[in-house]
Amino acid sequence: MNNNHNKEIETLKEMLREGRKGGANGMEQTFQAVRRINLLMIFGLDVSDCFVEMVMAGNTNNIIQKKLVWSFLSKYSSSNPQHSLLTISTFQKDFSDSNPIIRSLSIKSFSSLKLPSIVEYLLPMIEEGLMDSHPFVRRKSVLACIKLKYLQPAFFTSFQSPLVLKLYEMLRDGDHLVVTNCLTALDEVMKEKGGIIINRPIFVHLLQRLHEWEDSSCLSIIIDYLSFYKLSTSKEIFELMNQTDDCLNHTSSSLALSTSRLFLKITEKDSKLHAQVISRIKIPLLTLLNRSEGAEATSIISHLKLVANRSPNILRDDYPHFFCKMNDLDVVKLSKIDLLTTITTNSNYPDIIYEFGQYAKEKDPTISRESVIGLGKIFKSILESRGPILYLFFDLISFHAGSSGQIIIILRDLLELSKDFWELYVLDLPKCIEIASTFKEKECLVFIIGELSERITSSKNGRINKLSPAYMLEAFILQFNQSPPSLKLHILDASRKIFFSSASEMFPLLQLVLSKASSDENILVVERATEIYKLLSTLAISRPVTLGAQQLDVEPEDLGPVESDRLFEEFNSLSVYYRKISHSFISIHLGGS
Amino acid sequence: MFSQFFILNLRGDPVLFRDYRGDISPQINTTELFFVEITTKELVQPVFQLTEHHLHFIWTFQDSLYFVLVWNSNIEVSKVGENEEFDAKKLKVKVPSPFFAFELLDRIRQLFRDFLGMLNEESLRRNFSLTLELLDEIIDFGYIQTTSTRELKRLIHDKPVPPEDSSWKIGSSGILSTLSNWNGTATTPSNASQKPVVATSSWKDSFKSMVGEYASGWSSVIPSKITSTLQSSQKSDEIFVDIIEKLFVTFKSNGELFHSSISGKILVKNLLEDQKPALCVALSPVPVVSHRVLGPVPKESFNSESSTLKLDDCIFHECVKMKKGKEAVGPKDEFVFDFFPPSGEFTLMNYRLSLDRSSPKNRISLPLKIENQIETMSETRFDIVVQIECSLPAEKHLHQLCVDVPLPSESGLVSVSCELSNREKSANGGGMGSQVEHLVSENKVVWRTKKFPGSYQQQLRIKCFVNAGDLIMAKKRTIGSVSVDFEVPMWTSTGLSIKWLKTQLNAQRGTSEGEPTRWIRYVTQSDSFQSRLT
Repeated sequence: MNNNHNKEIETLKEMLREGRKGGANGMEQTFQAVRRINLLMIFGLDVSDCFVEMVMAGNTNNIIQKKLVWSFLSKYSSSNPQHSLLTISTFQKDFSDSNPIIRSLSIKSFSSLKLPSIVEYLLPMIEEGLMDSHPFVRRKSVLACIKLKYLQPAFFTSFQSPLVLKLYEMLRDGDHLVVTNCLTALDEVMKEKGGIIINRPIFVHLLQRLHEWEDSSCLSIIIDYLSFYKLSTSKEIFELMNQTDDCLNHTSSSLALSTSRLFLKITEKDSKLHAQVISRIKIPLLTLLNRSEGAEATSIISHLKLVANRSPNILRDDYPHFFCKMNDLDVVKLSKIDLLTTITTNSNYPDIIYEFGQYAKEKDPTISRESVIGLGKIFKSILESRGPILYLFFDLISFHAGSSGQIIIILRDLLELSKDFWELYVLDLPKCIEIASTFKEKECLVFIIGELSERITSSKNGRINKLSPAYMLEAFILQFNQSPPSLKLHILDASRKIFFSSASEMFPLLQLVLSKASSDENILVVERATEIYKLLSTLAISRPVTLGAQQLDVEPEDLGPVESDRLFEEFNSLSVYYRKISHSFISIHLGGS
Repeated sequence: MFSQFFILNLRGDPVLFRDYRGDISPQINTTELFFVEITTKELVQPVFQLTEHHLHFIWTFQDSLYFVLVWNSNIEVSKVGENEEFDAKKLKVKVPSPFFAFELLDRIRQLFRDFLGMLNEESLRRNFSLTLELLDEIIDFGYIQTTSTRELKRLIHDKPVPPEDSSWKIGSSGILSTLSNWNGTATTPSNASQKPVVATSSWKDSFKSMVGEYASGWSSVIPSKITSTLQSSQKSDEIFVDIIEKLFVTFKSNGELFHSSISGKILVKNLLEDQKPALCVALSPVPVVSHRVLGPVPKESFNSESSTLKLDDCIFHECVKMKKGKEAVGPKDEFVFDFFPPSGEFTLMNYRLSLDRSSPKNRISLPLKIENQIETMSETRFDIVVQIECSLPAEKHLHQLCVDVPLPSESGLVSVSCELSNREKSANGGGMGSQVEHLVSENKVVWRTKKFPGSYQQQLRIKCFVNAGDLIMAKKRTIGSVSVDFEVPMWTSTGLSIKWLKTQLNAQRGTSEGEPTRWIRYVTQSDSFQSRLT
């Protein structure tokens, strides 16, 4: 493979050398070789050996060949600084060509060379290019300024630097792309100083020309920068919103989102207006969600979630939009389920519980698991939903739905809140024992049995043999030695609790489990058994014991209000998608020279 | 901004690769990192980060290819000045918008299709220098530049390479080949003036199954032109407009509607010769939204309530220019607006509405109703009964109806048999080629019908036999939803239609001289149409 590759490179070099001899044949040969080398480059093969020959091939009238050579050069220039300098004259010649396309290609490619030594040639080219009569050349020259900054930061140390001033001046250029490039270029070259500053004249100028722009990506860039200007009066705010309202109802999602961000930002100080804006922007967001078929949907949902965080009831009536479609991607389904749990209120919970009940029956284990976890969250927040949710849970358990195991884990989590309902479902406990398969599920179930033991024995059902807590725990005690330490601790605690509610029944089992535990190899298990021994021997102690409090796995809490506000600042960015402020994923390094 | 763009095939080989900023170390193989992540993780978000390398990937998977944009969040900063220390708090970094990125990916795919005629691994490899040229013009140093087909045509010099087989006619069918003003340095292929066969057929592909009906399914504003344009290879000067409505409907098991919504769009494919066409279109009934005025249309100007369609929302493409005041209303209460279509394919308008909340005055109809029941027949048999009722007018029909009924799993099901019965014999019904199949491996019953006529009702009875004692559990485990897939040609749920489409000049004069060929089509599709079993 490697050998073949080297052989091919040699042949290609030979072709390029041959081709230089000229003639129609030679030109064609050169062109084919250049194409081939670029193709190899895409595959990720190292073609740096051809450097010298390629550089020579750049001096041509074939514009496609030229583009290919320059693209090769931008990748390998830094490893061949000496030979790269050979190209300067070609670039300079092209830059004085009468064809603006050749001129723009020249400045674009030349500025892409990562060689500090070209600065002295590049700077005059940029200065000339910024004043070129053709917008193509100006567009590329503006972007060349950013590239120049990474070669020589000294040109951009303050807002008074000549190139910076020139770029500011060019914000009034007649070509829309020159203007947007100026905005992005200024923002990047001045990033160490907080980015571009939009003052009133610039703001007014951009706003006046807004209706001239048709391209949606340019529009969304401009609108992004308009939001940097701090408006002072509410009259100005309304004026800006009126002028940009059309952009909100746009088939381009990035433009609609940029406009939403602008609206949110300028109304932040006026809470009443802000709330109106939020209910206004959700409409196009829902429309975009409705039409999106794939990846975009998850982004819209994460933005809607952020909006719902700020204005909790805003999506109360829109919940059917977030029901899963049959062919939704799994990631979309999961984010819909997540959003639905956050927007459930006591007005819409019946429909949402019904819908989640359907997902809980799905074959896909992730979807069914997440939906029962969602139901658990709704259970905690909506008092009225508790009865229906428990009913649904036990219905699912009754036919061994795939999510049953997860339900047991959730029931343990909800135990404190649901004790009053358990009376109804005690009969279903033995069914849970059949279902609990993982150690985690067993732990949870043992905990539930222990906690409920008093209620069970005091109820009328408690006298049914199958339902006595001691009887239910017996199966676990018999398998004590095969259990992992954490399950053993749970069994010990449950045994203790049951002993207090029905001592006579539990006594033989407790003896059995304590003897097993005291000879256990795990020190914690032995200690726990010893503690229980001591406790039993000093019977004077009253019942309630805080012995070995069970720690729940604490779920990472959702964003706090401060983080949520800071995230709001970053509306329409990846940060909202990650639900992390950008500081957490941006790192910096000091540039070379 | 974006540091790299690349396309990978299913094996993870790079098909196209472009590094825009050179700020990712060559030692870091981004394509490999990406591919390992998406093939080893179970659920990969369309946007994800690899914290270790400070890399962020935004990707879509289409046409068996991965399209990926990479953003590097390890930012290079420079010393501000001799005496000034760098202050990290001041640093401003623009975090890209996911919407911007997805739209860019979408647009790139669209442009490849426009310029290459088709988009697949082979066409990309064959045309790699053309695609590299495109990528270089679309993005510069990570910043989006121009994505307009019209403008790019001036900048691109390479021409599409014919595929090796004889189907060059197909390969040359990109929009480029139909736009006469090709850049001077490249020569136009001799057959470029031919009708774009694939451009139209990929247009067809966007519908699920209408290919068979293609010719008859179209209606043109000028019907006489239909056959001539389809058959001859004359120079194409055409515009295609489709109204597509997708239904998201769920019924409860008792046939009660749980929720339903319609998502509609007007899709345009502009193959007009005119480089800067100005068109005018009239929609009826007039769409109305409550939260804003669509073009300043005073509601009183409509003769009757029935000529309006209440939408929850609608959004328009940037090329749309609303008319003011009375101009926005046509002589027969149509909603009239101007638009200046860009070349190629784009969505002119998106709209949505939900049935439950819209007023009953809206004449919105669902094309079919499903009802299902589980009936206990004996101790060893229960039946799942699914009833489909098509509420379309008798001359219309559901196309490619496919009904999926899940069977209970792990429930001791012994055997299954199915029976179709018609409740009403309809004149045009009967012999519709219904097919019922029990797919054992997938544990479901599938019922297919090529054409299901309007005002027709049919019932599927699935007899499930179980061992004695298993009945209760098997019934309980009969869960999930009956899902239905279909499409309705030349019919929309909302009744929205295009009354006319003219050049602005003709619209003003009220004439129709020298109009290009305009194809207008309607289709309603099931997006997610189901009925719960329990």
